[in-house]
Amino acid sequence: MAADIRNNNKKVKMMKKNVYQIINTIVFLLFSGLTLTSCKESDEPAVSINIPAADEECCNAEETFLAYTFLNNGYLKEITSLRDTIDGKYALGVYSRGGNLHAGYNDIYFALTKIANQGFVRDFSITEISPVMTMTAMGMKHATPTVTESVLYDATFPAVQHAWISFVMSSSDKGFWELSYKVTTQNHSVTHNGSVIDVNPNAAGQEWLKSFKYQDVTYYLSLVNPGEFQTGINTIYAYVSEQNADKAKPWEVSAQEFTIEIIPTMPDMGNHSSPDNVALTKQESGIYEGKLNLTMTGLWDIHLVVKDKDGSIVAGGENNDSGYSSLYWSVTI
Amino acid sequence: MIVGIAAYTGVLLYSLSQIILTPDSIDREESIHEVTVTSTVGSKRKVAGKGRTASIEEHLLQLNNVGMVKRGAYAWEPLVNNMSTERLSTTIDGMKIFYACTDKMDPVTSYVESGNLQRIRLDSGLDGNPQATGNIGGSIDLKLRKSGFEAKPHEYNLTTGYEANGHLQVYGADAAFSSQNLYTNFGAFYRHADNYRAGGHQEIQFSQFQKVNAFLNLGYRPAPDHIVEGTVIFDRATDVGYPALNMDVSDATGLITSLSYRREQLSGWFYRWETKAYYNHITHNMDDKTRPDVLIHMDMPGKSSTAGLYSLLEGSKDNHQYQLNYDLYYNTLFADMTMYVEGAKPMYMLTWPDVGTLNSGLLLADNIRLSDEHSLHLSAKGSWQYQRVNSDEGFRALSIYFPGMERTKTGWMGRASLSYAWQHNGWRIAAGTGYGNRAPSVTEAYGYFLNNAFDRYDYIGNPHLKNESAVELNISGSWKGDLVDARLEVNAFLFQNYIIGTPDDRLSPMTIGAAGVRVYQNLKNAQIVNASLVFNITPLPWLRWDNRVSYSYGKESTGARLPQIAPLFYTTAVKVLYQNWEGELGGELVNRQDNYSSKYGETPTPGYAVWRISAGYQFPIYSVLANIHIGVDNLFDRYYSTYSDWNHIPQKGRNIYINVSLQI
Repeated sequence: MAADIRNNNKKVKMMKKNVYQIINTIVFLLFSGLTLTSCKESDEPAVSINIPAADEECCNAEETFLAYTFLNNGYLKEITSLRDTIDGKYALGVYSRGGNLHAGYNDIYFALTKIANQGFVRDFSITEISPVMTMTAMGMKHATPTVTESVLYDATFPAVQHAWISFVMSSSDKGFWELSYKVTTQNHSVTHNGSVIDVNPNAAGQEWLKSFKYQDVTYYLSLVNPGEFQTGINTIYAYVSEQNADKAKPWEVSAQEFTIEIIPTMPDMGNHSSPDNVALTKQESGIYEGKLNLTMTGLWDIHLVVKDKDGSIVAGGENNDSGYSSLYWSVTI
Repeated sequence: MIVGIAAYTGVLLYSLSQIILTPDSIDREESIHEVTVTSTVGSKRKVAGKGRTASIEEHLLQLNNVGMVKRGAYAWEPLVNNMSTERLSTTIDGMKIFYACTDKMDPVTSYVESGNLQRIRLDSGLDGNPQATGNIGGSIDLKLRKSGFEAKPHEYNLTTGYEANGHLQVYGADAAFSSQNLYTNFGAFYRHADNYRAGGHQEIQFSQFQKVNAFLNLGYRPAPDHIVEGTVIFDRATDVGYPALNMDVSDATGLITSLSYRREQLSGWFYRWETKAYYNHITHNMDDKTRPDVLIHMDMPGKSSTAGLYSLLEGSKDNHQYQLNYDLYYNTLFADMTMYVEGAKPMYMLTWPDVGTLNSGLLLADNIRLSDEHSLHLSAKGSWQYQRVNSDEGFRALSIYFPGMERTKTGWMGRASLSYAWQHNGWRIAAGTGYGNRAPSVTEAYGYFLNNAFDRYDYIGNPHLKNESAVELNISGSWKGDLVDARLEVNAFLFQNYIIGTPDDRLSPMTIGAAGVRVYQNLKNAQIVNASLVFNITPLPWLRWDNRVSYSYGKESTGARLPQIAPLFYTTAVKVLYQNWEGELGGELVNRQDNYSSKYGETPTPGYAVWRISAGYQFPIYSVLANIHIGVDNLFDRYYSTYSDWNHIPQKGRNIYINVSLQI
């Protein structure tokens, strides 16, 4: 999922370079063709393109175009149950890949439009993001690794905000997920309360969220970009979150800094492994980044050894039957 | 040169052994060896030995310095001077053709039939045939059988053979029509074999095969000395078992086509000019579906296609006879592997990442007759090669092991050789030297986790390999008298940057149960030396006793032995040719291979002796010329395997065969 979005983002950035030269063409295209193609591409008219008049709140033509193409790239779809409006003036759309959510890490995008002229709003924020699962049988509630506030997705088009949620489990007859958030613009805000969302289970051979306990805190390792992996050298991203003392409150990104060593193996091929993998280390933005080498397609277990700043093993030191760490993500490429 | 060979062909037919060492027009018998598969020249014996019912490999084995890597009963891989495919050039009538199996289950000799061929020419060492490239060990050119304009107006052949061991059946039929300006010959062959039995009646599972082959040659002479010729060969082997491997071949199909234009009787510097364009395509499907107890089934198909052309000018002036050849070809090799795990997504990788190779070369060769006693031969070829990994996925996968590798590679390669011969009163002494190099093969440069069932290692190609080069030295002395005909030959190949797979403990194998991973590397140097002594006695005009002893030696820079180097070998044969009868009693006595290469996964092979006996009779029935041949191979049902048999796969036990051919 992230792959397509990133690629799309790259495309968008490339386009930006030429955009001033071709802006007139774009505007022409917007009028003539794109509205039509967009209707073909998506089942529901998510956002109809609009060329804003001089409205300070709204994006200019270039930004509108970039935001529009991003949200209508064919991969993203609106999660309609999460729609909301502010004072009847602004409408918020929440997007994910295919309009679905699944166990493990999910990218989520927000776009706010001005109802009066359908223009994308430049300046808004999403806060208090709170996914909560209610375990019906036990009458318990718990949250999941998530960010609580959105950030601007891409500076070239200020109309799209990004956040992520990593679901520890899927919706089932034992429990259901609800998502709340607060959207704010121009001193107007609204709190969206607890829409029930569907979190799909992952296919067999896909396990993208693992946890370990260290010094009485439970940490969660969310694999960000498994959908991007292919045969060859891959950049691998992950987040480390920690469980909130109040389990029903969001489990935010941990302030701790670890090093996550990875050994990918193919359990079906006698644990065939690949050389030259690079451990995930924490970047300035808080994301962990490393290099993952996959020699062929199929099921890979990415065995993890988590170390603290001093290099002491925090988790994943114990072996399972294969002789590799029993803490592992699984991806099938 | 061709004229010389043609003139000789008739003479050669006296030979019972099929070993025909053809002197080229100017005293080059040391480097050119030929085996006549079938001949339409003259009224002499049409079929020798098993004749057309013998496989190409059986014909090749008659030649000096040729060995075979056997992985089963079918598609053996030729070794020349103890070097295999990578260091040899194999062409069909000058056409380049490349095998499509990553496990070398389909040497290109497996895509033709004895019935397609007139003869096989083998040039030992660096002095190859004009179209050969990368031939350090030697070059094999399979000469197709074309009836020509001067042959009988029509001729029909029927051939059938049966071998009791493995119930091998061979059926062949072909027809030839010739006229002043037009000729055609076409035919079809079918072979079928069940599992064979090794010595002691042990059945070798998965040694069956089946093959059909059809060919068509057309010649047209629009005007005198202008000749247009076309060839189509279709060859398909199905259900081929490879008992020495874990996989079999469901289907190996080759389509070989060519169109050529030839000018004869030119005046001036050149007397002949031939230009040929060709295309061939091979698909090879290897899998283990028929094998029991396989945890993870896999498919490993491969594809090879080659398009090319060559243009050859031949001429003579004064005491020079020379050739000028230009050739160009483009080959693509693609192979992949899919492994099926129950309930999971299949695993997939490219084993040959769709590699395109463009190669273009120019050859000059000259035979100089200095006097009746002294002659010189020179040849030189330079080639330029461009190679590209066409598959993104394959390129990315290899980049894991070779970060920053280039997607394309260009380079020069070449060879030059010089030989001198002196002959006087039946004595002949010749010495030659040469230098040449070869680019790494696609397997060596880009192969990806190719499991070698011999040493149980997974092999990874190395795109950073340097060209391998070698200096060749050869010397021979012979004496030919009425009673005795003897020849001693020694050749040595001194390699630099010898390419071979060396273990990399850092890497994890892919194949379950593999011993480890080897990556192809350039060794600083290596040496191969071959020596052979041939001693033939002809006490009576109808009786001949042939003997050959050969010894080889191979070592690399660390002092370790090279793999697949033949041990001390002795072959002997008593041959009788009396009126329409022929007979042979022969034996092969091979020493235990003590000089095996433990470093490269070899284990010792015990010595053995196998004997054979055969008799043939040729007789006319009205206008039909019939030839019947009966023989027994491995007379004493010896259980044995040769030094080069993959995984010591035991060879055929006692085998009684009979074949009959009719020519109308």
